[in-house]
Amino acid sequence: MTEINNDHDLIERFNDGDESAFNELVRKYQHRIYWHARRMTGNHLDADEIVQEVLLVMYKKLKDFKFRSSLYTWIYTITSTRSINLLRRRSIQEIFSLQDSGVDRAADSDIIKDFETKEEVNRLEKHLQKIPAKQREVFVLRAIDGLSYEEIAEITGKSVGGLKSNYFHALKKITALMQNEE
Amino acid sequence: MKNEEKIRKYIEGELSGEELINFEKEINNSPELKKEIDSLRNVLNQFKKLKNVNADENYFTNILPRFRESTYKQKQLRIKPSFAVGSILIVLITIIVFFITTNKEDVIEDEQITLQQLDNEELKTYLNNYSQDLTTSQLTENIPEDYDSLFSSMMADELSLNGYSGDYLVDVTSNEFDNILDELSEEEIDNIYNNLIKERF
Repeated sequence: MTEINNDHDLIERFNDGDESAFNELVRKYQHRIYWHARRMTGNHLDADEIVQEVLLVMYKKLKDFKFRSSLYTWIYTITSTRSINLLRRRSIQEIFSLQDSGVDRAADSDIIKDFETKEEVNRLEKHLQKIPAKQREVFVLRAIDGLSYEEIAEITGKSVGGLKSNYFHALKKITALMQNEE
Repeated sequence: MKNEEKIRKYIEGELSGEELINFEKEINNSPELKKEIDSLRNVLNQFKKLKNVNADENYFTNILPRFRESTYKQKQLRIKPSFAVGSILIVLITIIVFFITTNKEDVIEDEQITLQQLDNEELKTYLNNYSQDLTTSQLTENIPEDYDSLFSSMMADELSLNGYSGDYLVDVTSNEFDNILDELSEEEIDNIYNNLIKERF
């Protein structure tokens, strides 16, 4: 509740023209935005692009935010939507592109410096990319971010029952993929 | 309750009381079920580690300055709405004026082409109508030279000078008029004068 009140104050200050309030909001949520985008897209470059897009949306739309939902679920929704749109754009580009579609974007640059951690994260991210984006969204929000089904329902607009089923299917699929890998 | 739903609930800690005790008995009696649940839990534990990955904090420190820089650039590039509307209006007006001018020339060209195709009677009617909106120089510019004699006869008709050559009247200029008078005898001048009086008055 304190977090919501704090967000409310920051948004009001920002809408009154206090740019430092926006800076505070960014610093508060940038990690969540980046890591959610990264798990959805599977690489740093795309996640970075989405972070900048999400901040721009926040900057433009915060004045219309009515607190019908929590700010962080609203931010998750924007991040998910942007990630799914980017993945669609990428697959269309790959279909029509004459260039090699198997460019390893993860290898280009990364903010994970420890080699072993990077290898492990890349391995898990690759498995995540093998399940449908909508299932991935639910799996990431539940299994990694630890959100409740009610919060995920707020983000995705789906029913709690449907989300539970989606989550379990995703978990089974990834387990099967990882067993095949071994 | 389906077994899958039971497994999900068990993994997520949603089973309690008698349901939990019964399901744990079931797991202990089925190595296959136990193996399946262990695999699912193992995968979940691997993904949970992703929540606390150590990353370069410099990247996060730079997110905001990069965003501010890009929005500042966008603001600089943004064109003022009034300027944009003004520019669009100027372009539209230029296009409209251009089209109007071009279309007028096309009409005149079309009329010249049609004029060549008219017979004398049609041309007479056309000139009577058309000449009302034009000056003499504009009219003669648009009339082909072949039609000079026709034009002269129309002028003769207008002056009711039956029997006189229209060509002669058209060709006479003010300078030549004095010369013509010098060449005429007294008798010829009287004759012309009497005829003019008789025809017009």
